[in-house]
Amino acid sequence: MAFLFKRNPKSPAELVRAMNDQLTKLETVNDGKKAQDEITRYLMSIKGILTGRGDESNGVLSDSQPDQIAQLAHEVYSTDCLFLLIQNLPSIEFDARKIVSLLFTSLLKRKIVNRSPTVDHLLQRPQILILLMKGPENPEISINTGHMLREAIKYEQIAKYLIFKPIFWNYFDYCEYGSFETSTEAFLTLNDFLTTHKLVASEFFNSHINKFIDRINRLIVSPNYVTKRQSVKLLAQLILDKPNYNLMTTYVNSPHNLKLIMILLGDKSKNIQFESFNVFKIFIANPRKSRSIIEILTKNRERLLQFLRTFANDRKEDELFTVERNFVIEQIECLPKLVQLQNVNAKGAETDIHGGIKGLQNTPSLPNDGSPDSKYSYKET
Amino acid sequence: MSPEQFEVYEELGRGAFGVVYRAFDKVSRKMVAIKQVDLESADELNEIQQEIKILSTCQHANITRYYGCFLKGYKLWIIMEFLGGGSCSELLISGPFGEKAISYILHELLHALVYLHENGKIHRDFKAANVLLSLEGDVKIADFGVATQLSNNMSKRNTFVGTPYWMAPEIILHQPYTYSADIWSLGITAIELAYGKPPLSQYHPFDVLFRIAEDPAPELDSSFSKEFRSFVNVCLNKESKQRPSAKELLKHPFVLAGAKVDRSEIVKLIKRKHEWDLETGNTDKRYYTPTLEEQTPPLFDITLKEEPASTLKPEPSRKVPLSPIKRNSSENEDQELKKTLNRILNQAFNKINEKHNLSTSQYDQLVLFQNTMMESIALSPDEQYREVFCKYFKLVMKKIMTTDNEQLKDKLIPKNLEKERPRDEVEELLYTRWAESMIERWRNEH
Ligand SMILES: Nc1ncnc2c1ncn2[C@@H]1O[C@H](COP(=O)(O)OP(=O)(O)OP(=O)(O)O)[C@@H](O)[C@H]1O
Ligand SMILES: [Mg+2]
Repeated sequence: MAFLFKRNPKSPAELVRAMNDQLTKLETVNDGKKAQDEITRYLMSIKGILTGRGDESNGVLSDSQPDQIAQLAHEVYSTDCLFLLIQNLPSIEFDARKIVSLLFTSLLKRKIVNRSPTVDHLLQRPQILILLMKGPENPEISINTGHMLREAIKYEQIAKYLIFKPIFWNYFDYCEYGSFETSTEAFLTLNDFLTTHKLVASEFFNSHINKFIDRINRLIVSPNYVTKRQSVKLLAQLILDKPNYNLMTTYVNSPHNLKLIMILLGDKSKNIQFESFNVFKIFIANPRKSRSIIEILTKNRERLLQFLRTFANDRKEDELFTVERNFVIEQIECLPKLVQLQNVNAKGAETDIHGGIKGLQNTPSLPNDGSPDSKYSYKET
Repeated sequence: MSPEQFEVYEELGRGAFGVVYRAFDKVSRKMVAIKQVDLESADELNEIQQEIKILSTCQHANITRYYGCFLKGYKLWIIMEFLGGGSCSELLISGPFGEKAISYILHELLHALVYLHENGKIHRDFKAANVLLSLEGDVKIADFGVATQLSNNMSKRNTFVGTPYWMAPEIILHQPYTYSADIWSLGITAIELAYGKPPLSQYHPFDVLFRIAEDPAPELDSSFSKEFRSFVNVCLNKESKQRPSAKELLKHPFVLAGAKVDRSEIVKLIKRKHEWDLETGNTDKRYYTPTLEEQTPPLFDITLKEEPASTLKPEPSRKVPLSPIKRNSSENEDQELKKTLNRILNQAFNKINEKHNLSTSQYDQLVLFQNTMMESIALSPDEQYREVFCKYFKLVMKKIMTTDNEQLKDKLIPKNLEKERPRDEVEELLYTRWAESMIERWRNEH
């Protein structure tokens, strides 16, 4: 193999062109296997350039490494090589697919002054990104495409571009169906989309709030244990993210959502119980609970109290958790009082829901002198 | 893939993260190993997801082949190729390995390491227990439970993972480390194969950490060949940068010699262990029993005045419900019974295997039959089925014994076998037990 290259060394640009050539031949019946082998060899040479460990599989290289990478990048952009590679990924050899990932992520990280040429390229050629977004539909390559996509959406412009595309909604389906590998990959991607760039995410929530709540609610009752567990955790994290204020208030105002969370609170899985507690506590901390929310809570007062008093006793060392659990218990204990306060609040005593939750998260010790009124003191501050 | 496609047999081993069973894949008609990991007992799911990701992106002759995985309730079933020879650490129970076998194993392992390292992966838990062997003598790395993927922007790690005795000093000292940490563990594994135990094994794991960091690197004593000792010395360089790469080690004289060793050296070791098991009666097997799922009513009343609760129930789970089964006999009695029967079946199996040097397919077929027996006589929770099976089995035997068709009789009970060889003690035992139970049953029926 090595002698081939020594006799016929290729510049990075020639390498890319020769590879593109073979990529178009992959489909042909007779030449398919040969093209596949050639592509593997070219990719190995490219790997040599990228890692600076160009050994025997690399042609004679005269230019310095940064120069070669620049040449490589230039040719990749101008020939739409990334599109060809990703489109043909399933026909590329198993181990060579990882080099495609390597090429993609290495180019992505390249900076010229303070611009990222690959980010610009991808935004000009969004078809590449759309191909990556469809990755979970092809289980064979979903790990490769998932990895590339998550590297790409580390750049805010790309994340912002993709999150508003209709195809983004497919991720709510992808992470529930298909093989374990495909669905966990898709969930990772969904998670990154919604948590990496907080402002992009909150803009997304604000423009699609009901649809989003509907989709995440479907995930949290998924029959798939992993999907269920991960999505409740994600939900808890999202509604506590500062910029997602609107999502939080909308979510905890719906009795329907409270019911779902209460079902999860009684789930057989301790982990799901625990994650859903982190959502439940926000319903409780909400100083302006609606009538139907209070109705559900009052109806279950005794059962909830009994449940919460021994809830997650194995997490006793977790101080924050213990404080939160005690807070929730106290709140439920004085539920009837809350009904009265509710009317007062409705008339004007404006309280900030965030203030309430902030108190919940950060107060090391809440007033606990036994008199029911003092238990509301956090609201007045 | 789905749970129904597998017949799960005995336990092969267990580790920190799960239990591994042998199983038969009815679709591909192959033996497989299934690692069942309880996700509910894991605080974080990322680790197991990482293991799956690493497994599914590795395809190499010296790495345990991964076939896929799926969820069953809280358990993740990871389907892998079945390696019938067991792990090197199990084989070490019957004694240390010779240099020939060690050099062969190291040569194979280094190929796997070259592949892993080229793909940016560090195994981080390299030890004889994680080196598995096929019955034909293939050597494969297993257990990627703590393996890690280095991405190209981060070429070093500093998480503290691994098993103390095999850990590289830089990991213990919380320094950043890279692929060379696996090379250290390989050197320790080489010593482990030569002595049966890793260095410092006489100490508690906590003391070991301190010693690995402080003591000079371990060495082989002078009874070993110059090449082997040199190999161990270059791997166990406390200065991680001075250790050769896996690729360089492939050219080490000891490893080059290993490339020429025949895999039958490994088959010999597997055989030795089988004999050892027979002698010591170390043949107990533990069987997989599926857990039954019960439906619990919802904990809270979530109905509102204006709407019925039924609209709010989560979608019904798609799992096939198992029919409830009544257990009449006490658990303990069952346990005892299973154990005894298991021992009988295993002893018989091992004897036959040894005497007749079973081919792989003969082996597999007998194992399948043995499992059917086990399932039908002891494991089936359906009492009635067990009884039916025994009656059926008895009837078939009786019919064969009394048939007029001499040809069939000859085929099933070969004459020469009966005449030439007296029954050995296991057969005797089996026979008398069988007869006893038959008499017992006959008495009860009349
Ligand atoms: N494919 C296989 N074929 C045969 N036996 C296997 C296979 N995989 C695992 N085993 C057996 O099961 C044992 C435990 O498997 P494994 O090391 O993968 O589990 P683990 O929970 O990750 O253990 P550890 O404690 O080492 O992290 C092995 O030592 C071996 O004896
Ligand atoms: Mg192990």
